[in-house]
Amino acid sequence: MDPMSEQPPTQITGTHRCYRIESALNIDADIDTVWSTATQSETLGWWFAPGTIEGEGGRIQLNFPDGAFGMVGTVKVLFRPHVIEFTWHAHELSDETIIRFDFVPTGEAKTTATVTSFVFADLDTACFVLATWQFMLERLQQAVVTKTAVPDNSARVAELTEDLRRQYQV
Amino acid sequence: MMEHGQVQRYAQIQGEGTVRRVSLTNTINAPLAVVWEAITTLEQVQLWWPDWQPGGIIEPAEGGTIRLGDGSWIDGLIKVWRPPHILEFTWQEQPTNNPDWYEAATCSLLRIDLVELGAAKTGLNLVQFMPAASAPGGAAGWHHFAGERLKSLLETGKVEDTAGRIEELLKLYSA
Repeated sequence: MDPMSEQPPTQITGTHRCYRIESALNIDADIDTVWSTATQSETLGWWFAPGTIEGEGGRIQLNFPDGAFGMVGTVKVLFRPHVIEFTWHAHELSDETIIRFDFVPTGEAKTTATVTSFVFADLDTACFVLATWQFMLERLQQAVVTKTAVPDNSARVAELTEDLRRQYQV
Repeated sequence: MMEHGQVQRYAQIQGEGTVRRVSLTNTINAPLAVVWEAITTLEQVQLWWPDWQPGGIIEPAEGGTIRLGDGSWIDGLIKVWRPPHILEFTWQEQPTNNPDWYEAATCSLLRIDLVELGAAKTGLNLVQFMPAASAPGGAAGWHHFAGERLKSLLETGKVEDTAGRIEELLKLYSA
């Protein structure tokens, strides 16, 4: 069986410049390893961007490597080792939204990671944003396995975006 | 009502160890604003909440208190309040002096989010992290409360008398 067929679904639902996006990925590691890689300052840059995450009500600060985008949000939920949720504002794409990552152990050294958000823009933009978060989950998966920074691969975002555009006939 | 073998599972239970992720996705044929009101105001919640207990509280803001009862109280704090899309709160089934809600063995975290699918069609997505032992009951409960009672209320204006339904669904989700 194609292992990708065992992956959980990725989907966009909604209408009229308000879309709910969700993507999930199975990661071959225990939940504590996935959680620490996902949230600790020492490893945040391996898959997401260098930065820091404070406690609930505190700040999440990310500095993307090219210097083009810095993001400061508020941590809404920090439910170790299952849920981290924070505000996100990428000005050029959408109104402020909330990003939620959740993690659940699904076997011995297996964790399912799910990312959920809303995109307040058109469907084409929703495809791009979802592709970006899918890409981030893939980067997290690689970072957990390799225990090192994942090289940049912007072509992968374009590939995922095109797949979604075809799927949703944009 | 369908027999046990014919019941469609609205809810899913994922996970191993001490905690489970219970989720449910449903489509309700009602406008987004109507569904939001139905899940966030006491006047509406009491119409579909089973065995409603007077004295509930929903303070409509992040950090607000939420208190719902069906014979015993469920107390929590609202973590995310983004009308008309996201309601998320802690869910504490037994009183505790533990200031860290998340570490308490009886604590869970519930999120309901809504997305407009059409002029009178709304997608409801629910996810709750809860102790493993509570998961079959949680899945059966949300199947019945959100998948059946809330949907019926908003689509027909009525909620059927469904005594015994939870026990029937519990068999489904315990299997």
